[in-house]
Amino acid sequence: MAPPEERAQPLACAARLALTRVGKACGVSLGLSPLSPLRLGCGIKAVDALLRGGLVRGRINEITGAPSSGRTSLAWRFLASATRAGELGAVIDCGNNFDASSAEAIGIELSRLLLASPGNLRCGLHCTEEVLAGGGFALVVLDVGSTSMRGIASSAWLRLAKRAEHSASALLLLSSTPLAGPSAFLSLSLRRIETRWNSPVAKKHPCLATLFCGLVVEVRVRRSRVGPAGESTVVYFTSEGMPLIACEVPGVGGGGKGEAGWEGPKAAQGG
Amino acid sequence: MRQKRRIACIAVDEFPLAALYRVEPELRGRPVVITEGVGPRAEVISVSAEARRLGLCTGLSATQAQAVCSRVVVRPLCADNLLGAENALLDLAHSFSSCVENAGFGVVFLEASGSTAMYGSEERLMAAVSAQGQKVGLTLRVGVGSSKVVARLAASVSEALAVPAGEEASFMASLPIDLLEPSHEVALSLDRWGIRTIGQLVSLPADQVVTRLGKPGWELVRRARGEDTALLCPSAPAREFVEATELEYPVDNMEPLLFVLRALLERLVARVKLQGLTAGSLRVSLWLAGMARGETEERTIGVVSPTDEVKALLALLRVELERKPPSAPVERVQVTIRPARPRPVELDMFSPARPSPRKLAATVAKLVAACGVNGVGSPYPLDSYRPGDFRLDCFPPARKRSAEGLDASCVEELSHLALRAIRPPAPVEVFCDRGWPVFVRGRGFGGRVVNTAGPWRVEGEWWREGSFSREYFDLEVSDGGIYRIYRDLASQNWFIDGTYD
Repeated sequence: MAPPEERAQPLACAARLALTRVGKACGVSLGLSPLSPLRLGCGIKAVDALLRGGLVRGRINEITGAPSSGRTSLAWRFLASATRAGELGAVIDCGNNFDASSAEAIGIELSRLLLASPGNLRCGLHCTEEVLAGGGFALVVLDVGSTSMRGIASSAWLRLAKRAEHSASALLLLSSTPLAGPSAFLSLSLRRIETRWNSPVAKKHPCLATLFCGLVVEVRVRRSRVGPAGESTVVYFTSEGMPLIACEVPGVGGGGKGEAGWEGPKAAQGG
Repeated sequence: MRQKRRIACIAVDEFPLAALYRVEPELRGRPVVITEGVGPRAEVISVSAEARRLGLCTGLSATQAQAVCSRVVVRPLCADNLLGAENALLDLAHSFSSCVENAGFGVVFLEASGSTAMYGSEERLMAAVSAQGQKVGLTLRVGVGSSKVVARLAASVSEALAVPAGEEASFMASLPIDLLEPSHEVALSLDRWGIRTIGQLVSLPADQVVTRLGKPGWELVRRARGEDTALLCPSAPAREFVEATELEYPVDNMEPLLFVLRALLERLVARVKLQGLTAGSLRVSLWLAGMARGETEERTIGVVSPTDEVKALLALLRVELERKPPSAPVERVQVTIRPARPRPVELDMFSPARPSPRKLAATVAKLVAACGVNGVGSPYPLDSYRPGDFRLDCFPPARKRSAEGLDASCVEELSHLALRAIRPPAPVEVFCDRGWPVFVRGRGFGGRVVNTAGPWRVEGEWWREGSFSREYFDLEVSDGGIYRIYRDLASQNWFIDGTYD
């Protein structure tokens, strides 16, 4: 004899039983591409843990910081992660600052990257809207650079937020100061803690320092709509051509084994 | 067994009027006449059904037509409209068969045997032709038969009619003899004999008809029997798609001109789409006021990512025209599209979903319109010794690059530092102490040098013009920035070309 509630609502019970045995219809994807996760990680465990998985798709995310704070390096890491996973990325480069060699070294799959250099922020906003409206990009980076903010109303960010919401793309603003205000779902601020040069010799005699190893950067959540703000982590970005030395640097502070890797100035002879 | 020959005829009723409706669809349903000639004595050559109901007919002058009905729309015959409609009809026919004959003035014949096999039946083929006709703004009549004559007659009597093989005689028997378009003398003789239908002509002894009417009579009898073994004279499909229009008055403003261009592009794109192609490049020819006859101002615009979206193409035209506006008011405009095949993209079942190639191409075209041709693409580092050299390929790249196929796990845990390039390298003032930079000053930055790395000497391209020889330094400056600067050894000048960030 079936329980009384089952007798009362046979259809609902049958549906519940079918869901239990077969699974939810929306979770079955036969012949379809895998569903995109709602978060877009960067591959740096500490940062992904800080962001509860990564940047949020369909929202405005923001990375701010002074020049040489590592903001571009972090943004490119997110792009690298997305493009290597087979998704498309777009960079709207308002200041024409994109360097393909360093982007490739960071790991961005350039064949999956669309680069647009609009020349000014107004045009950059228009391009960003078009890319978001076109859809299909996992991450769209609007690199504001040092372009002027004059004449850009705050409603522009609201419009972008709306556009991002209707797409499956994470929109990432890259600037020196916070721009999107309350429209930003997640805002990170980066601060350089330390600049790494190659050895204690360099510390004692700065003029003899001949190798730039990298930056130690603090990543702080300035604003988040899902998690607590104010949390931070520390990341080390190594200069191109310094991987071995950087690998040997164990953590923040102290030279570590990196000191042993000092090689002195190189002369790269082209042609 | 040899397949029976089947010919399709696509015909447009009142061709000048149909060509006008294609350009000005809002005139449909209104009394319209088309005149040929100049001034009030221009002769009416085409009349719409609404105008015919009001008592208008061909042969009247424009003034007489307006006297009969004051609200009639009188339009002069426009060669551009006729040419555009004729080309659209040919493009439509070429989208169904490779063997197409242009019989002129809104009539084309095409080999239907192969196409019928593709569509399943002749009825489906005719329905598809009519549907495609709507897309290019033409109302079509379609007939299918075993010969050109039968197909033409079928198209004349019905909007879509297929005459089965072997039933040609019974189909044609009741049709009026005028449909065979006999010469004036032959028509008079037949009228005198009381011959009104094709069946009556066929029933006459052929040798007697030839004795009395001669060769034209024999030709007519053969056509009346449906005996037409003439082969189709195939015409080549269009390599370029052209639409032009003469403006009612010289246009000296961008917005009205763009309005006209949009209409031209819409008609062109509809034709390009029929062939399954996209726009590879655009050419705009402008006839300006005051220019000598035959002279035009031409603009060619490359479409980086071929697209068939009117909005994107119009944006490209707008950018080009705003960059260099026409030097005088525009009297006539012609747009030419050189087509390109859409790039085939094989979607991967196991990788994340990507936008459709058409949608992506439209997005790229819009970006090109905003940023310029050289401002959009997929970056590709050049095999060069010059630091920072890269080019922009079309997006997505046509060929897979070597690193393609790696997955996310290939991104190392190690995080490299990015460089923000400064383009072009900006000159800076550098103060040196025994050859080492100690103070640097440039536009927007400057300060005491805290740490220095370098120099790295880079030389290259000494075998050609534009050789370079530089000494690179990485500087940490007291303003907080870490910069990459270089000294050009030829000029001994200092430049900044990037910031580590």
